[in-house]
Amino acid sequence: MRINRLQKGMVFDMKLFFQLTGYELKKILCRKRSVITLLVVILLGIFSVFGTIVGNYYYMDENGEEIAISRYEEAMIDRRNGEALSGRVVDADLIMEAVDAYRQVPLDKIYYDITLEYQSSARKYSDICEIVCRTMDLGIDEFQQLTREQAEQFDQIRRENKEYIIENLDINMSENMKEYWRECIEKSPETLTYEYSGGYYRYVVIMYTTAFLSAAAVAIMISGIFSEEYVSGADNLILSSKHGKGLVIGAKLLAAFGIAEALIIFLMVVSYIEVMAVWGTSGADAALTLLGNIFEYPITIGQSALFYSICTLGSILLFTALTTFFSSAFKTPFNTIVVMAIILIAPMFIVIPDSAPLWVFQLEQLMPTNMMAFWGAMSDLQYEIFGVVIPPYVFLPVFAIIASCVCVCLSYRIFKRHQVV
Amino acid sequence: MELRIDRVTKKYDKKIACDRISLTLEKGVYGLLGANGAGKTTLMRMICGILDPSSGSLSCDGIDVSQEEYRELLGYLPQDFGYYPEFTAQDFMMYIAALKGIPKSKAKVKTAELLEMVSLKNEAKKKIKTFSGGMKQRLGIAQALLNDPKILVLDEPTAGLDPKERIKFRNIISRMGADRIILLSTHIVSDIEHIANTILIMKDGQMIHEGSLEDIIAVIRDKVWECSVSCAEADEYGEKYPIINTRNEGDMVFLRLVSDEKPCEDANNVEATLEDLYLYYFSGEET
Repeated sequence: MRINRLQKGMVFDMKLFFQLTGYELKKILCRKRSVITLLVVILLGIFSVFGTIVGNYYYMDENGEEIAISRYEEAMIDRRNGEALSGRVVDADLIMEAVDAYRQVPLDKIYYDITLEYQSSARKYSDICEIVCRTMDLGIDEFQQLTREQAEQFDQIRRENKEYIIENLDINMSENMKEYWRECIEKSPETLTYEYSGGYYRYVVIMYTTAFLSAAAVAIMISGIFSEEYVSGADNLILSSKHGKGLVIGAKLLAAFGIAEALIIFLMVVSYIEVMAVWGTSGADAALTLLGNIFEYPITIGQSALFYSICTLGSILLFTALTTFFSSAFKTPFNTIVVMAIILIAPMFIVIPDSAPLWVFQLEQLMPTNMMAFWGAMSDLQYEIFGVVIPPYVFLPVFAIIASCVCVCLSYRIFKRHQVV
Repeated sequence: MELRIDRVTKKYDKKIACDRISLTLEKGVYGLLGANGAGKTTLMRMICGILDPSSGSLSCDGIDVSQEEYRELLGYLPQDFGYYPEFTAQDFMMYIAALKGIPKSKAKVKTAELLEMVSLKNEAKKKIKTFSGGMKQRLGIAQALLNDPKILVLDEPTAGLDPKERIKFRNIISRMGADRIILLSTHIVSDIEHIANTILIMKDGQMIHEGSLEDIIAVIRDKVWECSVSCAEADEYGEKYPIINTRNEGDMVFLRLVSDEKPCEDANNVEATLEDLYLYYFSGEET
């Protein structure tokens, strides 16, 4: 009987909790500034994907006449070219094929990529050229002069580069971290297989902008979750009511996190579908290095996109938690918006000198703005806890969850103990 | 049921808003009088558990005011309460009902009942942003009654109400006072005079009087005078005595004042009212 009563009580409380959450969501979404912000961010999020395929691309024919193709058509050409080369090992044969194609391009033109020669023969090898030049530190003119003997050294140079970087990196890696990298190098395949991964590349690029916009929207929409009650005087009614110092705070937090995470997940799914529809889904099983990473974490591009998405969710979680914290601590939503804008924008302008200790770089990476960038999630900065080296794409979301829990507890406590004066 | 306030003090930096106030409130209507800044709202906030006292304690039947169990018994109408402009009156009531832990089905019935009581039934579906000050105040009264509170704290409940609504509300409070503790503060002395069983008077953070209307008025019994004097005399009397009322009557000025002794030959001793007492204590202060 006692258990039944308890269970009934719990069911009732849960119903009430979700009822209160509904009202808190209504409060957020009823505000004019929330509606406008949400609409702008959703529209930007949906249409920003298409930003790179709007308009025309121009190149010259053999008579010097301008030929226009749409950006979309251009993207499709790259996709077809990339897919045609997918599955081929980047070896001397493929490199020399690319070099031969690039030798036809006249470099005396200011923009070699608008020449007919580049369009007709070299363009399809542009990804290969980019990988080789990045690895062997070559300019486009040096690539044209590449010999077969040099091309055969590609894999060896790749390996030497990684080892060199481990030993000569600006940041002071611990021995454990260096050992971790050596293990990663050991695990990585000797040869590099090319896979077209335009869809994933676009996804990780576009998600940074989308996450940034979402964070800005969160700051505007959630800033009033507690402080608006202080300003309006509703804190009198809330805090003197039965659930005003308990259930309703939880409902407020759930509404804040719910709306923030729903927004980013929605935009994430929409962006993913859009980029994959345009640029294709291939490349999920390819090596991470194809996306430009020097360090080869033992994950594929598809896995890296998944980890990065989790990091993005973590960054928004942390950003929301910080917003709720400042909302409970400040007397007005405006103050919260100002502080959150600084937290969002400032990391972009902070330049840390190379001589700074490792923890300064690690700390910087924990800022939500850096966490929501692919280069942040997949960076060369690992975290070491009790001798165990944790890659950033694992550490960042875990940190975001822990830090968010701390912020949530503080927000809860501050609002509960708020004094109406 | 007994609400015990035991040597409660609230200090803000240098100012003492409430100074060692001790009270025991039982069922009935308590009217709290005092000028602005006397500490009425501070005391009410402490009673509602939304402001911690610097020292002292507040409890009801042994339950501290900070407990959820206490808040379950409480209904509170703050002086300035926040409403949500985009909510309808119905939404607002349902939200407050949820805050008070009232199940949805019961809350719907109670909301309809209370909105009718405060004459807002036809406005139930209208957004609060379209409401006048008086309508918002009536909505505030309705929300305070949602959980059928055993302790009802009303800070300036009749502010903004028209005379008809004020009297209606006064009668509701009178009826409710039979089986609960009601503490109300107002500047409209006649409201307290009509409905309060016990009158509490605060000045400078201290409770200077507590008792029934008769007990309270006894302080100035036989000290209230009415007289007609010249303009020059009126100015002189104004400096000398607390003036309760003044009215021009041709060349003369009619005065109602408080004095221990007869102020002039023509002065008539009249029956004291609560308003006399209030003005006697608070003349010269901002009210």
